[in-house]
Amino acid sequence: MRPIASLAPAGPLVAPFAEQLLRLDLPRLDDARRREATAFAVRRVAGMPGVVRSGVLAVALPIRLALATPLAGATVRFLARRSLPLVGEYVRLVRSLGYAYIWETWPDTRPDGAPA
Amino acid sequence: MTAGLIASDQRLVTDVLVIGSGAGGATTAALIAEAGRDVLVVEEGPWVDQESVRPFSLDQMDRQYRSGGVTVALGLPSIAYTEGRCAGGGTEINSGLYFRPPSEVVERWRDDFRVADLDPGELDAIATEVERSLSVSTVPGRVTPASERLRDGADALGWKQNEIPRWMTYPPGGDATTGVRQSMTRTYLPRAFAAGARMVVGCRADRLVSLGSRALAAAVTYADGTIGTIRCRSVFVCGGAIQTPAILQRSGIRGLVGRSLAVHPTVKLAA
Repeated sequence: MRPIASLAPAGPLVAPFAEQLLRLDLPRLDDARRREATAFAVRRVAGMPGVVRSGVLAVALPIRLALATPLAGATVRFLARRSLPLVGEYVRLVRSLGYAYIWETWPDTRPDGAPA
Repeated sequence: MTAGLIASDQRLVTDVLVIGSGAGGATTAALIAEAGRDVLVVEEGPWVDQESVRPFSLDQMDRQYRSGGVTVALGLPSIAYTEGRCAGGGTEINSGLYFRPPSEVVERWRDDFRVADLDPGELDAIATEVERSLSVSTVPGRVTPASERLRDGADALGWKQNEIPRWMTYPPGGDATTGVRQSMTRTYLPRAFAAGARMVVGCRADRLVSLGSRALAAAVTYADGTIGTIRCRSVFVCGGAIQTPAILQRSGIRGLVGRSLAVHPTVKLAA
């Protein structure tokens, strides 16, 4: 039986956090590029093996729920700056996927996300 | 279609089945086919020509890495690792580094792990043949600036340093940026095909079907989801350090299988 978490689509769970994390890390990255990088991160998570994807989405779910509250911004800032057990792995995963896409696609991107 | 590749079929028959087409599977297939046996290689991943993909790119990770390169060994801490999943296996995606084990190391392996018939001299002869087949060499011209920096830094610190050879060919006057990787799709797989071996890609070996201690067939799943059976007289499981134990465990062969996995870490430095 497939784990329930693996049946959940990755997009609605991962995209909001990915988008806000990249906005925080790279404030001068334009909207279109941020959307592309977010879509890439979602695709990669969706393509993970079932067990790993289940784990990732299980961590993503409570974060997604927190983003629906007035504490969304504070949540993202807190997670982005802390290295928490397990949750920190999810943050690193999303950040790594986003950065890999951005700097491979637009290699001249500046550290703040601005184009060269 | 590349010579040697055959279409998937729900029922295939072969004399010798080789599971996996990386460094182990490709060399096994080539040598056994050259010895006159009927050989079929099954590979879970696709065939990707080297020229069609940029090395170390996201595109390559999509096409030639297991799970797009997002694989992890769970634990404390969890460790990201990468694994090839394509014709040629890890040889298509790694750095091509090659190092012949020193005799004293081979002797220690033989003695510590009680490996019968492991003769350093015989292994040396095999290594020489492999090095010739793969064109193992150091860079003929200038190394990369990063390597130069490492070398100069080591010299300044009085550390011993050396260049690790790679399986690469270089054009006349070439340097570190012009090497052509001599992976399995360029070397042992074409050799296997020339000797009559066949290969089917997009074919995952789920488990071995055995009668007593004898493997009779492999149950497989093709990339389109169809399942099949490949009957054989002999089978070589060459799925690499991770997939070989996995296949054996799925086949009911357990015990210590997969309990001694060891990998070497890679650390990226940036300055």
